[in-house]
Amino acid sequence: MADNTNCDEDSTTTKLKLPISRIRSIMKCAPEISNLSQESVYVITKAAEMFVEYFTREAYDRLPEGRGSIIYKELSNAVEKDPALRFLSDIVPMKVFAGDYIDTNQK
Amino acid sequence: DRFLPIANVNRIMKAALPKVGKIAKDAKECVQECVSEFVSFITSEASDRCQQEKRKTINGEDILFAMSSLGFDNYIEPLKMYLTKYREVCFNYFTN
Repeated sequence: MADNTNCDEDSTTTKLKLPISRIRSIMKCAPEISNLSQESVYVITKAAEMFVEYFTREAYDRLPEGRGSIIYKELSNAVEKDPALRFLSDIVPMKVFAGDYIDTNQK
Repeated sequence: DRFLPIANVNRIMKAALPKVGKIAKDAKECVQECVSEFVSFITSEASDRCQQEKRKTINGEDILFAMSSLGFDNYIEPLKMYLTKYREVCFNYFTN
C-alpha cells in the first residue's frame, strides 16, 4: 500500500496526535512480524491515543481528596485494580518501602 | 527510538483531564513507556493470529480482533468507526 500520509488530510476524524512513523518502528520490534498494512498502523495509533486518555482518567479517578496532581502511585494503583491494565504490571509495579519489603521476607 | 515523544503524550494526557489537573514528571514518563508496551502487546497478538491463518500482512481487522481478545472491548466501536472513515478517505483520495 502506498506510503503516503495524504489520506488523513481530510477531516479531524482521521487526524492523529501521535507520530505514525514512531508507532510503526515500535510495531516492527515485535517478534515474528511480517508485513504491516498502512491501515493497521493508523488503527493502532488511534488506539494508543485512546489508551493514554483511558489510563490518565483511571489514574485521575484514584486521586485522594485534596491532591490535584497525578503521580506514579495513581498509575500503579490503576494497574493493580483494573483488569484491562494488568498487562502493565511488570512495568508499573506497586512501590514498597525497602524496610517493609525486608520485614515481609523475614516473616 | 522505542518511545513516543513525551510532548505528544503529555498533550493527550492534559486534554483528558479537567483544567486544574496536573501530572508529575515521573507519571508522564511512566505513561510514555506504557504506550509503547501497549502497542507491542496488541501487535504481537495480531501477528500471532496472522501466522495462525497463514497470512503475511497485518490489517486493520487483525488489530481490532487482537484488542477484543485482550480485553479492550470498549475501544472496538470507536476504532471501527475510525477504520471505516480512514478507508473512505483513502478511497476518495485514490479515486479522485
